[in-house]
Formats: sequence, C-alpha cells, structure tokens
Amino acid sequence: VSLLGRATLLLALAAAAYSVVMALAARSRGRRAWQESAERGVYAVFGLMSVAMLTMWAALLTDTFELRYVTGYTSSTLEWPWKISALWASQPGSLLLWAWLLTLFAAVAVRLNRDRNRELMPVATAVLMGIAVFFTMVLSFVTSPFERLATIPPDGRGLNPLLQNGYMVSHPPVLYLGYVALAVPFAFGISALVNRRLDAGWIVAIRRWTIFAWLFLGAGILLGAKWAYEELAFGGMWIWDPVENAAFMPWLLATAFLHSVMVQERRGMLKVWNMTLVALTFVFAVFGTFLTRSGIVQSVHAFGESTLGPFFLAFIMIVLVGSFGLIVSRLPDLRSRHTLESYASREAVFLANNVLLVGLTFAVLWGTMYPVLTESVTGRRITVGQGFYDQVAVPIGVALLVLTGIGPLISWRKASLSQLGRRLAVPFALGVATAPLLLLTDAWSSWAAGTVVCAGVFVAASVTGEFWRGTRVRHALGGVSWPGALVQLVARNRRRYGGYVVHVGIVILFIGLAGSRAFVTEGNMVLTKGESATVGNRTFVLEETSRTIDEHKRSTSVRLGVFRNGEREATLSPGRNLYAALGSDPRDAQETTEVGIDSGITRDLYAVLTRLDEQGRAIITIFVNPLVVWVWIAGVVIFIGGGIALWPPGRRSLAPATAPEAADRATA
Amino acid sequence: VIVAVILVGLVTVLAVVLVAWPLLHHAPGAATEDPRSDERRRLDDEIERSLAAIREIEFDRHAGNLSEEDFAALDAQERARAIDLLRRRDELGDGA
Repeated sequence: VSLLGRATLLLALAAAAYSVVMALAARSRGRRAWQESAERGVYAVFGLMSVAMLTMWAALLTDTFELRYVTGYTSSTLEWPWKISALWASQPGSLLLWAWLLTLFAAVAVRLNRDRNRELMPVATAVLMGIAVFFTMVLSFVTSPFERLATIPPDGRGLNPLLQNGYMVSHPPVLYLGYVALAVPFAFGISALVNRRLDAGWIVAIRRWTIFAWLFLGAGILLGAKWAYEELAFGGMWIWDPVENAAFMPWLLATAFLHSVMVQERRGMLKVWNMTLVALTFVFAVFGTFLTRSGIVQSVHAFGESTLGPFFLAFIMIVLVGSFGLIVSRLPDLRSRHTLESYASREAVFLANNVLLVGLTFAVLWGTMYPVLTESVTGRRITVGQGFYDQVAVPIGVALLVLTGIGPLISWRKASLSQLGRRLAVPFALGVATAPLLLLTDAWSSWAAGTVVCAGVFVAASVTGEFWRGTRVRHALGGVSWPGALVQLVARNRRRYGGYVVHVGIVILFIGLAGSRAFVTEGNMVLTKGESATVGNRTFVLEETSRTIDEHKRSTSVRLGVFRNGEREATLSPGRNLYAALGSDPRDAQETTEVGIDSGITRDLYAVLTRLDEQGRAIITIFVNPLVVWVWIAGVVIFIGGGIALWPPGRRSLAPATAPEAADRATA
Repeated sequence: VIVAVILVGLVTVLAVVLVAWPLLHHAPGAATEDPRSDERRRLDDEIERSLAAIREIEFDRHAGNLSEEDFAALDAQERARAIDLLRRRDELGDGA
C-alpha cells in the first residue's frame, strides 16, 4: 500500500511537471500537439491522484496499520463512515484531498475549454499544474500520508471523538471544494495577464468557477459553524477563531470579486482591481489551508500541527510576487475603457461594496495574525478578543446590507436621482417604518440588532420589488400565467435573479446572527434530582441523571424538563463522554460534551452539562439563543440562489447574424 | 509488493500512452489552432453578452427601473458597442 501510494504521488508529480513544461513550450513554439499532450498530462495527473486517494481510503477501511496515518487516526473498532472521514482528520490526508480536488478541477477545466479560450489554455494549464507540482512535492517529500511504520502496532489510536460527527464528515470536503476551485479563476487570470487578453473574455471563462467556489466555501463555513455549535459546547457558532477566519477571508474576497467582475463585463472598468482580487483570493485560499494546518495559530478547529510553514510561506510568496509583478508589468494594458461617471450608479455601489469587503478582510487578517506578530516581536502572545471583530464587522456588515438593497435599484453609468428616489421610496419607507415597530420588542436594546432588522426589511422590500416588477413585465409581454412569468423571469436571467435570492438569504442570515448574538440569555445552575432553577421566564427541572459504560467510553447525562407558564416546553438531555485511551498512554483519553438542544423557529434551548459529581449534583449551563435556526435556513436559501446563478443558460446561436441582422434582432 | 509493483507499472504505462498519443498522431510541427477562430469565438461571446445587456436594459425600462433619459443613454451606448463588435466579427470573415 505504501509503495503504491508513494509511487502514484511521484508519478503524479512527474506528470504535472511534464504538463507545465509542455504547455509553456506549446505556447512559445505554437505546437498544437504539444498542448494536447500537456492537457492529457492533466488527465493523467488526475488519474494518478485518484489512485492515490483510493489507495488511502482502502488502507483506512482495511485497518492497514503499517501506515502511520492509519494508525494515528483510526482503530479497528471505528465505524466505517469515520474511517472514510479520517482521510481529512489531519494534515497529510487533508493535503491529499486538496491535491486530488485540484487535479479534478484542472481536468474539468481542460475538458470544458477544449473548444474555447484556446489562447488562454496553455498558461492556464501550466499554472494549474504548477500548483499541482507544489502539492505533490509536499505530499511526496514533506508530509506523506503513505509513511510506513517500522513496527506494525496491533491497533490504531482511533479518531478524535470531536471529529466523529456528521458535520465533520461533510464540513472539510465542502470547504475544500471552495478553497481549491479558486485555483481555476486564478489560473485563467494569470493566463489573461501573460497573453495580454485583458478584456472580459477571461472573466466569462471563470464566472461559474467563482460562483461555485464561493458557494461551497460559504456552505463549508456554515457546516463548520453547525459543527462548532453542536460539538464545542460554548453556546454559539462563531467566535472569530483563526481557523474560522481563515475560511471567511477568501469568502469575503470572492464575494467582492463576484460583484466587481460585473463592472468589468458591463463597463470595462476595474481591470487592475479584478486581477488583484483574483490573485488575492487564491492567495488567501492557500493561506487558509496553511493557517489551519501549520499550527502557527491556536484554534478550536485545528487538529494537527506540522512543520509545513516554510514551504507554504515560500509558495505564497512566489504566488504573490509573481502575480503582482505580472499585474504591474501589464498596467498599460489594464487601463479602463471608461471612468466612473457618477456616484449615483451601480458601478459606484459595487465599488463601495468592494472597498468594505476588502477592508473587512484585512481587519480580520490583522486580528488573526496579531497574536503571531506580538509573539514574534515581544515573545508574548496577545490574542484579539471578539470585541475587536464585532466593532469592525458590525458597522461594515450593516453598510454592506444597505448597499445590497440599493444595488439592484440603481442603473449602470449614471442614474437620475428622481428615478432612483422613486425606486427607493417604498423599500426605504418600509425599513424606516420597522424601527418604531421594533419598540414593541426588545430589539433596540442592541442598536446593531435593531439596525440590522431595519436594513433587512429595506433589502427584502427592494428585492421583492425587483421580482414583482420583473414578473409583471414578463406576464404582460409573454402572455403567460403569473407563476409561469416568475419562472420565466428567473430562467432568462439566472445570474441576476439567483443573485437576488442569495441577497434574501443574506438578509435572513444577518437577522439570525443579530438575534443569536445580541439577545442570548445565559444561566448557570447546580441541581440535584428533582430540583429546579429559573433562567429568564423558563424553569429547568433536573428530572433524571444517568451513567453508562461501554467498550469505548464512560458517559454521564441528565434529563432536564423545561417549563414555561407551567407547561412543559421541551426536554433536554445534555451529557459528557469520557473516551478511553486506545493506546498505552492514558493521556490519550478524551472527554467530549454532548449538548442538549431544542430548536424552534424563534429560539434554541441549549444545555451544557459541565459536571455530574458522585453525589448526583449536576453543574449545568443554559443558553436561550434566539433565531439560531434562521442562520441554517439562510444557508439553504443562499445555496438555492447560488445554484440558480450557477445553472448554465441555454445557448443562443449567433452564427448567422451579421452586424445589421443582430442589431435588428436586439431591437426586436 | 508484487501486486503493487504490477499496479505501478500499469498506471505508468497508461499515463505515458495517454500523454504521448497526441505527439505520435500529429504531423510534427503542426501549428496551434488558427488564432482567428479563437478571436471569432471570443467576439461571439462578447456579442452575446452585449445583446443580453441590450435586452436587460430594455427589460428594466419596461419594469420602470430606468427613466426614459437613463434608458436612452444606456441603450445607445450598449448598441454602439454591439455594432462595433459585430463589425469586427464580420471583418474576420465567416471562418470557412
């Protein structure tokens, strides 16, 4: 197994290096056969990496304890789903997954572009395979998942119990789908720079790749948040942990890029900015992987440390210097076709959105790296608290939300203020009218939450208006039913209306986050059986305690009855598990907390059992978290909207059209 | 070990055949594709985008998102761009 795995990785490295050389040679010499050979090299690399992946999975499933990785992260009694997910339990396996996804996406990109963007393909192929060379080198010579042990142990150490969770099966691969897919836009961007094809052509080639990456990066972040909520028992889902930030930063940059490319497509502006963003987004994706796996930051999400740092830093430096050197050398070619004619225009709104998103990214980067910087300078690690992030992120988030409402209502180039005023009047009035209504609730006890709700209503009204006006026009023009008109509206412009659905999801997300962060009620209690305590307007009764032992763990749990106005509202069963050490070292024993959650439309009841002592006293922490479920619902809405935007449109043939014919067609 | 060696040999041969195939079946020195056909496809894409933009501007006018003044300016600009693109594509010929 070790031989097969190592050999396929080395062959993949050789094939990737061959593709780089052949693709660049094909470009300089103009040989079509060489480029075809380079592209087939991409398929070969993908095939070889697939063999390596399957070999690793086979080793994990068949308890091949001759491999250090299998021994370190599985055991013979581990259930098979966890054995499969053990592939991404630590650094070498995660990097193998990264590299495999990269070669998969490279193969798909080559296949999709076999008849298109031919001028861009040699350099794009070389860049993608250059990245593959780096990862296969790391996997072959620095941190091999196929490393053999000198003596084969009878059993493995097992998988960290925290990782034996459904969300941990899906969260890393989904996140990696997003991280790795960003390599394709980067490769095409570099190719466009090298070939001086700096019109919107390269942007069209990578538009869907960017949406795909953005969508999966976002889904991965939310799945990670759901895992943290259920598994880490701190009562929330997001604590601005460095690893959370590592995924959040490229997502923010990809969000900025998705908006700014529209400005280049429509107005031929922001070319330098778009090139900068595509390079930065990829750099942050690699940096995120580095941050998660290098161990330079302390994180609740990090499950492995390594000595990979210098290699990743060198790679990031090469990408940064190479990309920005190329951008600087092409500055004269990147000059815009137009300039910003008015601040009352869609491009100005997108520009403001970009400035805020990039500003937030660098604020998060500063907060994430500050402890590392202080440690390297003063020798003392000074961490940045949640307060710093909230102070920066909340006002920027509210401003972005407001821009989300304005963007769809304002025209390109220059909007007349009277028209803009007419369009904004109803959404703005609804947003403002929400403010006094919120006085009936306690929403204004947090100005941020109140503002988010008002801004959310403004955006929802703006988007609803867009759907209403569009459907009305379709209904009038097409003579179709109202539901038919709505379907036709979305189907004919999937990117625009899919984007609006995403905006609705963002509103729901903001409201869910505002509720769940600003209005948490927390209470601590020490109860014995039959005793009760009150948190807010609810009474919690300790009804039962239990202790069980099986071959893997010792478990303690309690049953809490939750009563409101004398009526039973829910039953919560928080507990703790102490997993036995599978190896010889008793320090390997691990304790996990199983939170008790009752989810509802308006609130989550969340109970954490801190301790159950021998006298039957249970120390319990209760959180009443409002609106949490809306965060997960928002994720689904955003995914649906992104899926609509991603779906390819039916292609219209332009072949027979000449200038006058097509101009007539457009007029008609 | 023998099975692993055989498998490694097999995937090596497959990979080599896969990448060498185009080199053996193309006349040596064959040029890359006609750059004009790539340019034509690129222009086709841009024309399609430009026509879609014209349709969207028209649609926004019907929906009341654009005043007549805004519509006239945007529409004229996009139409001029579309015509310029179409002219450039016509100049390339039909590619036959």
